Amino acid sequence: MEHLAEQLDAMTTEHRTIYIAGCGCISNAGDGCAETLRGLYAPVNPPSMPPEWVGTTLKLPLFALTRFPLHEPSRTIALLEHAVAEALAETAVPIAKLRKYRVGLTLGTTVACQLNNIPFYAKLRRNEIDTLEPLKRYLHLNSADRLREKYGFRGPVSIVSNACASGADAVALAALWIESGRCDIAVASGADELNRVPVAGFHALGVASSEPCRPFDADRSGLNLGEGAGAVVLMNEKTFRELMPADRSLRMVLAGYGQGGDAYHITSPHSDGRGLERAIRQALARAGLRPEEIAFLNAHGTGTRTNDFCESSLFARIFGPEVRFLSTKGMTGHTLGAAGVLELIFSMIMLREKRLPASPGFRRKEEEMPLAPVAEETAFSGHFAMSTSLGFGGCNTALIVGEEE
Amino acid sequence: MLYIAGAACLMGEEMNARIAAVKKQCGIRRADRYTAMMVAASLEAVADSGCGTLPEETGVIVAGFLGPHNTTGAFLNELLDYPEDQVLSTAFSHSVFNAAASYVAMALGLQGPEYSMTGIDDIFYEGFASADSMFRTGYCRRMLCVTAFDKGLLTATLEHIGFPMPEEYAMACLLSADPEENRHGRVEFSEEPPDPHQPVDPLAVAEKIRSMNQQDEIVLRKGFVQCQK
Repeated sequence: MEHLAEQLDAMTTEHRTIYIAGCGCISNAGDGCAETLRGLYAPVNPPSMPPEWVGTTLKLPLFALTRFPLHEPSRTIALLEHAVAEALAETAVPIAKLRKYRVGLTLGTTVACQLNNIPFYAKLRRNEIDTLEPLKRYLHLNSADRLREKYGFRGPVSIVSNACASGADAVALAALWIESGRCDIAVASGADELNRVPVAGFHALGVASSEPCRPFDADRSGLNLGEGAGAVVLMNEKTFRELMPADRSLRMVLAGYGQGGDAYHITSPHSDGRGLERAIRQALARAGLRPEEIAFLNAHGTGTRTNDFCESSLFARIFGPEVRFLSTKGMTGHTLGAAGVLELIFSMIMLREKRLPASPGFRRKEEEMPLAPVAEETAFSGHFAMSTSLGFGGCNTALIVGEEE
Repeated sequence: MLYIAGAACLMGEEMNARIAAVKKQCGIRRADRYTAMMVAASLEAVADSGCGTLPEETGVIVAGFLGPHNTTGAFLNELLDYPEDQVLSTAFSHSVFNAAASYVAMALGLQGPEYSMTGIDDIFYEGFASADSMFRTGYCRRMLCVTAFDKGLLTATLEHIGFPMPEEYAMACLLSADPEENRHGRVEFSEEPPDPHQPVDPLAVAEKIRSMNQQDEIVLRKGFVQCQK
């Protein structure tokens, strides 16, 4: 930790403070941040049986965005571009002006970076390919590169595929680039569409529920998958002050972030949550915050027995018995690569509103679980919130969003 | 500052022998070939560094173009050949893009930041450059950067349609912010745009790194491509 303190002190303020200048999102909570604000406190769309285009015969409730039109060649890219467009628009800075800066792009995704085209693969293995278009599309549909070309940005580009922590890790990577001076602005995003492959995969693992998910509830029986995209535009302080109006009323910052690995199992989290604890403590240290300064936690909270118990136990150990927390996956489902960015944006919205909705899907506390999420709409004071994400293979990430005082 | 503390590059029969050994040594029988290649290269890089057991704060960055494409195909085979409610869970869990990074972390007990990166161009460059960002900001002080390429049905098809594929390989570099751990010199980065007529040969880069000593420097330039477009 001494090395960290020295190096943070050595970094100039202009690199160290990271502003969140714009955000965009689409999920079952809402299309866009304004609709999401309403949806967070009055959810209206429960999960439903899979629409035909997902292509699954499994009877599992899913949070499909039925109003979002089907897109070719990639629904994930369409969702991504939708969210990024809103985030950039919210900055109110013309793209031509943004281009004068070094703008980096990070994308967290799972489905989109693999060739999950089942009909194509069926022909491939029989050596009966009649068109190479699916393969060429896969090669040329690099999502982050598309965004770079579309907006004419010059800066680093990276696609991060860390399972369910992908979106949060994309945000952390973008922040690292800005803090190290590699770029002035970074668009960090996460996106994933509903797809037959993860639907079947999570079902095979025995973690998909046949009912609407109930994170942290005593009778929880697993997760529901969802789809969506989220994007945040991050800026270093110098760039923010150059581009944003001086009288911009509310300034949000990415106050801290941390990552830790469990080094334990390919799918299950470590029972002590050691990787998540490392991530949380690193985020707090980088933000210069004590645990009690976190107003609330937006947990990963998938609704699985293991994950929820692990998080609840760890929250109690680090933050104490009075900490407020919830999981928004009860209203969006688990959006995989999009989750980390979406939940950061939800945390920002709730922090501005100074109230938490009742944790969706939660009804009754499990006796053995140390803590329960908020069960009704809850007002709070405070300027910082933390969002946690846990991914297969033991990836754990904690992001802290704050209001600049 | 980015120092190369250890480096390894495995190919051919040497790689096959190492794969068989690490599967037993690390208890990773279920891991696919792509993953075992990465674990093997990682262990070699750590051995080359002379560091012994790495501190648990060490991170892992795995960079790859196609990722575990053979295992992705294996899970698609499950969906094609069996009812959906009978597909194997292990086929799915091992097909996720970051499975290899997770196994590397498990084999070496690494609990630092873990990244699996992909894209078409610049992957290894981005892995090194992101490690550099982490060192500069005090985020971590050691990072294992690993990449591998294995062949299969998909790569055979790519070659058939005019995308030349390299031989199978696995590479790993242990990077450190500590000058006392410098064994193969420093890494600098060029911001020059990639030259489409001169794609960087990853194996040539690996050989150069392994031949470098503490006083040397390698300048990485964008365009570290694993196949030509």
